[in-house]
Amino acid sequence: MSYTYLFIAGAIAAASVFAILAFYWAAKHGHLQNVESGAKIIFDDGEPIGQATDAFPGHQPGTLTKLRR
Amino acid sequence: MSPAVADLPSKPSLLESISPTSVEPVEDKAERVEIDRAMRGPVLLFFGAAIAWLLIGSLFALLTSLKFNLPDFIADYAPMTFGRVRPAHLNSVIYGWSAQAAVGVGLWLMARLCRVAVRHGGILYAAWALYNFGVLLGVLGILSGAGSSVEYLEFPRWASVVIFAAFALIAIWTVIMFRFRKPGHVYVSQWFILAAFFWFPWLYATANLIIFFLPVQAAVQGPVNWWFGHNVLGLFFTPIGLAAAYYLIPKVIGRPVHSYYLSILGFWSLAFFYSWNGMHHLIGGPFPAWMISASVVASFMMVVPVVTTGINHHFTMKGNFGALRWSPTLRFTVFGAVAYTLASLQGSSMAIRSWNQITHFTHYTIGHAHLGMYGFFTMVMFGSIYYIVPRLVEWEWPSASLIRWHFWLSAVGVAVMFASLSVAGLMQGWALENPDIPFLASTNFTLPFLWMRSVSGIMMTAGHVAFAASFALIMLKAGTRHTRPTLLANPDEAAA
Repeated sequence: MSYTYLFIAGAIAAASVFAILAFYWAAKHGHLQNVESGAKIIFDDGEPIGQATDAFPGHQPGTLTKLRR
Repeated sequence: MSPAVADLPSKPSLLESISPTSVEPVEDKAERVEIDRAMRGPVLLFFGAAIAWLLIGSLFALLTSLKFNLPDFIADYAPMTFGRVRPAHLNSVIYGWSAQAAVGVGLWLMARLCRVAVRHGGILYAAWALYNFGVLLGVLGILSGAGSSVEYLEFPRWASVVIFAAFALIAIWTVIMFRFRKPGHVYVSQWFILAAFFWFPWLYATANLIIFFLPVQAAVQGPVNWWFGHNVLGLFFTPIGLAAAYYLIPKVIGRPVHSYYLSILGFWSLAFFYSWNGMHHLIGGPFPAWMISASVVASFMMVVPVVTTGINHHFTMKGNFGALRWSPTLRFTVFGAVAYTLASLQGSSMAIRSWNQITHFTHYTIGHAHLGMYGFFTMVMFGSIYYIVPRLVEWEWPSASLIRWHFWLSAVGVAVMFASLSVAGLMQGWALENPDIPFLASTNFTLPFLWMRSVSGIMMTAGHVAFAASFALIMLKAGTRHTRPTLLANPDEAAA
């Protein structure tokens, strides 16, 4: 039974350890720096900022000028 | 096929994917189309199966709800008795619908955000087949009487092994995609998805192992049960829902997230605080006081990610709320985002000991669960599917009317269900606290509200039928091909 408790403690501790390791990795690789620029990476030339995209591919919904950037 | 995609080895070995020597991103112009075509098969299979389980789960839900008011309704046939139909509903909608919708949305988002050619799609086909076999085994196991009494883990253990194996495959594919991603910033949605696909197999395996395969002492099984039960909501469904919202809201209105810093803060605070929350389900139970207190504190720490997310979504949308009138995706997703804030703050309040004493063991908790899993998560998944499927099928939704019916039936249905169960729960809770009120009276108070619950369930089920009809029609490429998106209103008229 003692092994079971060790297993439980290990499983719970593993969550925190993985979270801390992931946080360390993110910080080390610069993912926590200049974060505001990261918000723009989902846009590109084909689907730029200011263009609505709830549209069929290849067609624009014609609301570009109605949206606030 | 773009030149960059053509240069990639067509079938890299699994070993090459685990230890890549180079990353060759597809060209910007063609990448969305290439990625969407590569993801078409597995994502549509997950969505199709999810919608089928949604319909099945809805029928179990109606049967469950009606049995509150009509206890003799189909009561002589053992598989259709309340004790089996209720967990069959819960597990059909959690593992059949919600988890598969989450996987479909998560896989598509991961592929889009990694921005590299998709590889090893065969893993996903195998995972889909295995997963649905597991869910089918589990639901049939419950109906046949082989299910367990542990909430959220009612599937027989043979089914849980199959489900774990399927999810392990999904997690492996996700890690491979992440490992191969285009160099650069990791978008916040990728963090949420990567974490969710790591957390679920870990939670599921741990809970199953120490409750069923290597059972710990009975007193410890309660905390393990609620450590899993609450975390599967907060560390799997919530991250996928937020990942979708953080991608879709900015994309639909063409505006970056208001404060990307807040979104990152929201992710890490969720990662650090959430796993302690589950013990607030055991307030008043025979457990160490420190354990419950730590959970109550952690429940209130959750205000940090919830408020940051709520503020962020509101200010991202500010000035563009008019788009809710024409965008199907936005309408469902923003409804879900608002419900996330409300359900999460309500959840924190329910960890207050004196308030928990009233609401625990009543319909109030069921109302809260539906606000979170349906009002938030399911509505965001509906919005995501409305965005993703036309890009995969290269065909537009055939009917705006069906989408409108789907939205209003689901939105009004869940609102009525939440309101009726909340009022019923509070009356029930206060009656249970009053020694002058007989126990039977505390349940009789709730009967009119339980009828309202059934009516709301019928509305939501009708909405699901409209949704399934839309999905079937778009898969069949029914009707004429649209040259414009299927919007709920003319944007120019909506803006006027």
